[in-house]
Parts: sequence; structure tokens; C-alpha cells
Amino acid sequence: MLKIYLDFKSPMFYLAYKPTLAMIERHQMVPEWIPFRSIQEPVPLRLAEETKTQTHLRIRAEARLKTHLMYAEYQKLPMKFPPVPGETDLALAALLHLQTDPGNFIQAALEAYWIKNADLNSFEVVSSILSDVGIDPAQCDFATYLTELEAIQKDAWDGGVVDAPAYVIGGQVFIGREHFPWIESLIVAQKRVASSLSG
Amino acid sequence: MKALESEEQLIVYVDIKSPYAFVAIRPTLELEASLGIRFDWRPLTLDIPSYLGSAKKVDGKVVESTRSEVQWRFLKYGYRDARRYAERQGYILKGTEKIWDSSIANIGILWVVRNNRDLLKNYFEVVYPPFWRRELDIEDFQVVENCLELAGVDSKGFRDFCQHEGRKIHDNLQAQLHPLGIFGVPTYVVRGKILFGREHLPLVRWLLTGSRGQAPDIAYEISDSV
Repeated sequence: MLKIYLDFKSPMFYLAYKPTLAMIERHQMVPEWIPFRSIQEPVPLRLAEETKTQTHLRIRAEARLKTHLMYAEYQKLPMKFPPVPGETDLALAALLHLQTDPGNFIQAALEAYWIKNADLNSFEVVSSILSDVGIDPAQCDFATYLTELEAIQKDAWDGGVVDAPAYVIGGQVFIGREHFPWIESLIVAQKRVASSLSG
Repeated sequence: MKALESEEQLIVYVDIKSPYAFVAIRPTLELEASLGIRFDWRPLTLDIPSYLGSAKKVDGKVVESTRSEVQWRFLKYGYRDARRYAERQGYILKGTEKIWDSSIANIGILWVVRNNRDLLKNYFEVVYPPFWRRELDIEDFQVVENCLELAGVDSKGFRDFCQHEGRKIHDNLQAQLHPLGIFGVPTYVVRGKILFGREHLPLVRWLLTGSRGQAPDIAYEISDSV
């Protein structure tokens, strides 16, 4: 069983989404997609006078952004960072309404955020996305889902999930798509065990 | 020594006290060997408190800390992750009990590169694993000299190098790094790109072998040995 913690505003998740789909397709898996509120900070502005800490954190953030854009270009994926990372709670809550097949919503929400820099905490925006993928937003109990999101967040945090995407398999937490070789080896091992048990 | 310039096609910045550099050493050495070229290995001596806060442990328990809860969570995950990859490589990675001054051992890298470049792999092997088993005091000159000798490198003159010429090269290099956007280890400088983290090794390989076909994505590659 593979759990995937995601946040639409996470650039790592945006870049991981298609490779994740390819991985689960390769192994014919149906993962559990779980909303997670990641911490995203804007790139600090360069100050006229900076402490060593401020310089370090700024150049680290600048480098991270530049690297994400580089891989987006390699993947031919449009990617525009908003000046300030938006909140995504409402879209994350909506995910809880789409337990069986959230793929179209995830794709649409990612494009809304990373191409149009849309506000995924806006009722109008999220409702529009739901409608576009054939889901009636009036059926979505946002208030209940937002409460559930808090509980999921606490469980995830307590379970060692600190960022998105996080892949949880075999009791291990892997943050980021760079772990796909190990994750896939675990998937293969799990399938082998399941196959031998079923005879 | 200019931080972004080298006669070699790839510069690799590492720090003995970094667990992330530790687990990057073997795959980077393997890439170097597989390509049949030489990388330019250099030290980057991290100033950890400046970006991760500081902490001190006694008998495995934190007794002083300036770190926030969030910083601790990320750090714990990072160490756990480095540990499992180290174990895959057959190494033990124990949590560090203090923030070390790794400059002497790092200047050792400069010494080995200058005097016995072919033995750099040996030097990494006699320093990194015992340090991460908590068996090495890398702040002690004698300890680092012993490591050099164990690696087959003549340590005569190292202390003087470390206190004078080597220290000057090291310190001048460190002063260049931040302004150029180099802040962590391992960092790979290749074809004008600065790449932080061993997850970029597939891209490094692609860039060094002609950039043919689709650029690979990030990955912590694993093999039977790693």
C-alpha cells in the first residue's frame, strides 16, 4: 500500500506529479492520495545589510527555486512561482471529497496554481475547478473536510511527514521523488510477497 | 583557487561533518570511476549554526538548542534519511553530538589532492566512516595526520600546511562560496550549473556525457552495493 501526501503549492509535488503517475502506472498501483499542508516560504528579498544567516537562507531559497525551474524546463512543464506562496487549504479539503479518483482534480488544481497562480483557498476558484472536472461543488462539505484536514495534518506530522510529496510505504516515509528507485524496489518486494502468499 | 573554475569538468564540494556529503561520496566516486575522468574535490566547511541553529547533546540527549520545532523535525527526517542510505552502503551513521569544526579534516582533502590525488578515495574511506561511527576527533591534528598515513599519504608537512598555506586556500575559498550561490554539500559545479544534492548525479552524468536525449530527473540511484 502506498500513501502519497500532497500539497498543490509544493513545487516538489508539482514536479513529482507526472513521474508519480508514471511510477504507479508501471506497477499498476492505486495509491491513497492524502492532503498535507506543506510549509512554503517566499524567497527572501536581498537586504542592503544581511546577517550570515539571512544570506544563507536567501541564497538557499534562490537556488532551490532556480533548480525547480530548471527541471520544469527539462520536463517541458510550464511553471510560474507566485510572488508569495498561496494557501491551499480549500483545495486540499476538496481532495477529501474525491477519494476514489482524484487525478483530474489534482491535475487541474496544479495547473491553476502553477500556471495561473490561482488562489486555491478561494471558494470560487476551487468550486470552478471541481465543476470543470465534473464534480458538483455543492456536494462538497468543505467545513467538515477542513476539520478533517487538521486531524490528518497532525497525524502526518506525528508520523514523520514534514513536506510534500511524501511517499509512505512499508512503514517508511520518503520525502521527494528522488527516492523513486528505493520506493519502487519496495513496491516490487511487496508484490513479490503478495504473489507468493496467494500461491 | 576560484570557486567556480577548474581544469576538471566537475567540481565537487564536500564537508566531512555532513551526513549528506557522507552518503554522496561513494556514488560520486563511482561516477568518477565510470566516466574515467577526474573530478576536482574541494572542501566546503559548513557554518551550520548560521542556518540550522545550534544544539549540543550529552549522552544522546539535547542539552542546549536554538532550533525551532520545525527545524528539529526537518533535521530528524534528514538524518533518518541519510542513515538509511548509509546503511544501504554498509555504513553506520550515528547522530552527531555536537557541531564539529571540520576545517582540519577538510584541509586534509586539499593536502591529499595536492600530494597524492590517486589516494583521495582512501582518505575519504579512513575519515568518513569512523567519524560517523563517532570514533574520530577530527579537530585533533594528530588524528587527521594518522588518517593521512592510514590512507597511504605522507603527513609530513601537513600541520604546517594546515596552519598556513592550506588554511589560507581553504579560507579564501570559503569566502567566495556564498556570494556565488554555493551554500551546502554536496554541491556539484558542472557546465555552468551549480547543483546542490546527490539527487542531481543522474543529471551530472548526462551533462558530462554529451547531454544526449532527454535530461534525466533527480534520483538517489541505488544498486546492489549502494
